[in-house]
Amino acid sequence: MLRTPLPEVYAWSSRAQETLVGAEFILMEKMDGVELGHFLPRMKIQDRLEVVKAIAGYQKSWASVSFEQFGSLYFVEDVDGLASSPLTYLDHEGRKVNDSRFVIGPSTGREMFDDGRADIEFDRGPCKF
Amino acid sequence: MEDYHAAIGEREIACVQHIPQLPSSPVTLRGPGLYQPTREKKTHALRTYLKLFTHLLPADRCLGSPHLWHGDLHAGNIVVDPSNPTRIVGLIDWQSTELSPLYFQARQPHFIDHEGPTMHGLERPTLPSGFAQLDDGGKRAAQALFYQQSLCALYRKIMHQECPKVFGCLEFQETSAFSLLLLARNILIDGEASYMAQACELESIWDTLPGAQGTVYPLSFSPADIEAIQTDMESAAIGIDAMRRVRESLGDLFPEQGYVSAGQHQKAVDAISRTRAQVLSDVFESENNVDG
Repeated sequence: MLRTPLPEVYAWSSRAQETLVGAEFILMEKMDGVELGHFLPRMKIQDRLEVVKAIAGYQKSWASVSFEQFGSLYFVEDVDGLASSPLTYLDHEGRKVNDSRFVIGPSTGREMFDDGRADIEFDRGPCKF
Repeated sequence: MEDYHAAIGEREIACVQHIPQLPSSPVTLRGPGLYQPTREKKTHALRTYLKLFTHLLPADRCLGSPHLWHGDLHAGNIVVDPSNPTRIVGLIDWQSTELSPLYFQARQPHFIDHEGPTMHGLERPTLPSGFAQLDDGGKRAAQALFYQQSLCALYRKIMHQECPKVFGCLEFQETSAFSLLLLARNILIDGEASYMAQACELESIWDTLPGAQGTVYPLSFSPADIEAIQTDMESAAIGIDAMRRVRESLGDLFPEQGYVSAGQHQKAVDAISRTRAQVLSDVFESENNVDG
């Protein structure tokens, strides 16, 4: 949907108490490549420009798909009633798309958890635009 | 939109009031005579935000629509083809991704961030006028900055042409209205002194805010309030300057997140004790100069 190359997620659990090791995990595809940082210091300016252009292209794609709520994306079966309406978004052509596999639920952004915020009770969303 | 921004203020107030101990700021050094953050000051800044925020939103509300974005595009999160490093194989590190307003997310990729003056609008970088007279080291540094600025200028130009929505966000991010939306998100950690000073200054440009047309500046400060805001702002600035000096002096030995690797431990302890004495004398010397 966002036209961006990503590692495929093979398996995951967000429920630490249900895993054998007692921790959340994500198991995902190893990307067949090397960090840009390894090459960057010796890269020619023209080559850096190419990378900037490619990233700008991805960002353009992210900016052209907009949603109707603030929060985070979940699979329907994972939210236990914390979110109600199925996912709706406007695609690259501005068409309204429904995808009932997903819902928007509470935000998983860093500032909902970091620096002790994880233990405090407050509204984490979702929230309408 | 309004609900979302109100929730940020309420979240920070809940955290400021209920967290067992206020977390310390990574950018401000605290100590006797320096700015002392309190729950009251933080709560006051957040209540100020709650009075202001509806007027701070951009004229084009769409700049704040919810989007998915990758918020940390440094060179370690971009995986490339080793036989052709300009070919991107994938982007990693998406676990904190959320749907939040585009203006809080749109940004040049971190890997082109650099030290020195940043690019604004559609300006193009230039070499300094005295470039020919610089020595070799000076030329190399000026050339390096020129290239770094060129990458940023190119990024902005692409966005201007191909993605006006992102460019609109970059422009909005340079306004004081945006600064007052942004700072509120992290008042639990720091920024309340600066927040009040900026909220105070907003009165003079109130009529220019697109979201404030036909409204009256909703805050009022007595002369004593203004003096207290100034005092807090100045003492916080001294703390920020002191922390910047500590960072500069420690370099790679600075304990990010509060720790260093075991191998670096003794070196860091030694460097910190040298730095402590140096920074204390520098800071109090410059503070005395300001007073004098």
